[in-house]
Amino acid sequence: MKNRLKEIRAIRGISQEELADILGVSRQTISSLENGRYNPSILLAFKIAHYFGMPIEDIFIYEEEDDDGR
Amino acid sequence: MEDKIRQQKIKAFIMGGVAYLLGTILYDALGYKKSYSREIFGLIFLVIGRSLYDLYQYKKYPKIKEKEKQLEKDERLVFIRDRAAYITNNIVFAALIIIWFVSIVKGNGELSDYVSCFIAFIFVVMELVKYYLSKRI
Repeated sequence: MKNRLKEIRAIRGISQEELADILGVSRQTISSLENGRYNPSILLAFKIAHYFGMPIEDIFIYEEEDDDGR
Repeated sequence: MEDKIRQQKIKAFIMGGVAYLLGTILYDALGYKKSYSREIFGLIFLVIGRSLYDLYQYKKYPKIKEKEKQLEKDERLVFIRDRAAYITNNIVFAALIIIWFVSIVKGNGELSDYVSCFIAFIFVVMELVKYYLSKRI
């Protein structure tokens, strides 16, 4: 699964640390999400989408061949 | 913040080691005979030392401790812990089967009995936990 988290975060001008604090996760989790090493739970995906005020599918892009999940 | 938490964990680990050493040194200084109680004495010091150090850290840096508690629930770390536990379980299971096989080949009946019981115990606990979780999730 691809995502536009890094791009959206940069547009909003907030750091990984700040976003991590807001979402209640570690900075490393944000970093892993942005690098595509880790896919979030549906709950975290909703939290991120809610924070940025965007639909989930505008941030996370599902790809059919990506069946591994994480 | 996360770097500070990591530093504090390293400090706490070192403090635990120092407390353990202090306990064993004190045990020797008191002139007791060397036995398993020396290690137990050291462990008691370790637990007390770590508890006091954690309390001191909590009083001095309450925000860092709050963040540490919050990070315990971080889903990526929970995932890493679960995966690590799963891999460790498989490695331990494989190691036990190897030990059991070697003990059979070498004719060590007592050891193979103990290892068989332990493997059966792990297997039963694993199945019980799976059953419990399948009912809850």
